[in-house]
Amino acid sequence: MSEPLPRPVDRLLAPPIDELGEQRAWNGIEARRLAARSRPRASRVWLAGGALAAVACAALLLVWWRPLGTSPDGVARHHDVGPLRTASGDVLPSLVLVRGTGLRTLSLSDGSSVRLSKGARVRVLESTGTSFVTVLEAGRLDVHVRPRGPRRWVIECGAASVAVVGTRFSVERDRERVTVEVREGLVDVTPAGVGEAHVRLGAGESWAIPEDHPVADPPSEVVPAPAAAEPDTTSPAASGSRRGSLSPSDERGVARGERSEGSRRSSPSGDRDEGAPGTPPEASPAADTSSAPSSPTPPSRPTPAVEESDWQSLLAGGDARGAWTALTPAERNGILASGTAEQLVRLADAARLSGHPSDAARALETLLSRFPAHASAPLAAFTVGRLYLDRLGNPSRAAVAFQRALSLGVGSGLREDAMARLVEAHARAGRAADASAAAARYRQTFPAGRRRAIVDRWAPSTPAP
Amino acid sequence: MPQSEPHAPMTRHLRLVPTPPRAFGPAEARAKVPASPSTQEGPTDAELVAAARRGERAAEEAIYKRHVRAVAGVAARLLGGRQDVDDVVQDTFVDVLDELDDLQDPAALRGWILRIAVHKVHRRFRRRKLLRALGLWRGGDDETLAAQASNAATSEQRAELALLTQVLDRVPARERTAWVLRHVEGHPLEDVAAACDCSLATVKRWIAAADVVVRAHVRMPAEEGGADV
Repeated sequence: MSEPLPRPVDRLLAPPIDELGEQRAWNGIEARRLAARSRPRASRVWLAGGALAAVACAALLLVWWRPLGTSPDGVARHHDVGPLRTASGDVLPSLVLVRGTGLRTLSLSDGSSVRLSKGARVRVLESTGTSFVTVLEAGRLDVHVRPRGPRRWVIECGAASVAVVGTRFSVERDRERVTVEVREGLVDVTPAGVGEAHVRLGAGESWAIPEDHPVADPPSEVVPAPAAAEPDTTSPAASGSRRGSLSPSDERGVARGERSEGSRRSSPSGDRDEGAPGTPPEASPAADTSSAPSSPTPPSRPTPAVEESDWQSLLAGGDARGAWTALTPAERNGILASGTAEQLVRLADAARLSGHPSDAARALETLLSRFPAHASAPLAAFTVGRLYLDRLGNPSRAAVAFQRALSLGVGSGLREDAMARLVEAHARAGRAADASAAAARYRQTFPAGRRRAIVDRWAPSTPAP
Repeated sequence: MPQSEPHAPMTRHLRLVPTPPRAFGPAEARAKVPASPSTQEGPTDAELVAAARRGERAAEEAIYKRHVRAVAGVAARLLGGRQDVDDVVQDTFVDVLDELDDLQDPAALRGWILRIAVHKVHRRFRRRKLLRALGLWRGGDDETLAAQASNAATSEQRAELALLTQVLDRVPARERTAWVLRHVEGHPLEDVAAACDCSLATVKRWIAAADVVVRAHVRMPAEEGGADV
């Protein structure tokens, strides 16, 4: 059970200013007041005139800048806000396909472009002004992401996720492997569901990982499905634990690592093409014996997850227990299958605060799986780790979650805790070597950290020979 | 509130000003900012204001020392970080000391100072928003409350603080400001109302609305008394 926050919360916070800061600020105040008193009136006139001139220059600059806001390819940049669109301004479909050996190139509103080939099938999971998340279910993508664009691109491909800000690269997924090749810039590749840190690839490098889920056969026709919410028709592939190894894709391959034991992210394998985002939630944890099934079935009525219902009102009113009781299994499954990130966070909160930690973990893992670039993702991963370690007695999964939180860049306030709890999780899972390695990283990062004693307890430091 | 004689030497009062505790260890160990002037030892706020209006520099410094932590707290907790705290503190007290003659009720000094501080914070918010929209913001991400936690906070409490920051981001700005002043910084409702430039009833309503959202997501006890908010 988590500790409640006190009122006022300030009791837990460090002082916002120290004695030195107080004195420094006072000196600054005195200096500014003295300067204001001694400043000649004429200089104030000059300052006012200067300010007016600056405003005029800024206005001129704005007028001059506006026509330059169009990129050489004719794509307007000023209006590149909100969801990503095609270059012609159309909303992107939720599913984009090509048939057989066909090719299709999408030019996008931010100046980026994507070429689909080899029967590519791509689902758009999230498209906002700051992120664009897709799932490559099969086939090949050649991607050019405009450098310094406003969005972080993430391409989920079952065995790994590829994150990029601006570069040229390709991703190919077939029955046997996922291959990433970088031609320009940098991309980060993160093995799915594995506690390993991401792999950073530069220009000319490539990376491959075996694909242990068979991918669906390419569809027989090119169908850009409408983006509107439709019943989820995908079914989760079997999930489980396995051990494998990364292998270089070819002689240029550079990234190599041992995949640690952990659950695999499910791979969509539905046989219908249209539909809402299709990445299903991960399988339930071993300790989970609660009501929600591990493989949510498609809701029998149209997406209850997107409707405001009583449970959300109850949760908003502070009645988490009532909210959880009011949630029907169909609603829960609907949210897990097709809910928004916000709905998944609310579902997790209702579960967590009403004493259903396994359901909370499942909701958050679904969020991590479907919205890995969402702002809530790092904290969600950390919370999953806490739930597995403190409530569900599953330190192995806790370790995976804490590692995920770290790789997602959990905020500075929790980074030290995540590193320390990772040590504890490894140690409690019986992986002494991993615990020692994690402890060494902690000690190196936080030599005088406040969790040092806990880290030393779980993984005593060995004296140098 | 009793006023000092118009031209009484301020030094008589200033000798009574206790040096504020300077413990900067765990937050629990340090003295809280006094809740209201009536609980202070030494000269009252009204007396300090009167002396400062007469140009006594020591009185100005006493005002600063008495209220600087409250202003710094408002800046750090609302701005999400300590990077702009110095600037907000300086901007606030330059205005406070320059405009002391405009203060209608010297006994309500703390609320007035907090209102100026909140105004400065909101200006910085708007500036950040503009710079972010233009892609010119170089200040990094806002800090969560977890990053401001003292060493005494447990891992669980830090996680809840991070969650609290996320939840507060969803609350309308004026309700968030009122809630933070009340339940993060622990200011009395009267000062919160003054800082938010609204009536006591309105600020209670705002705090209650934010509190419902917060308690839907974060473990916090109901406020004692309940009727207060």
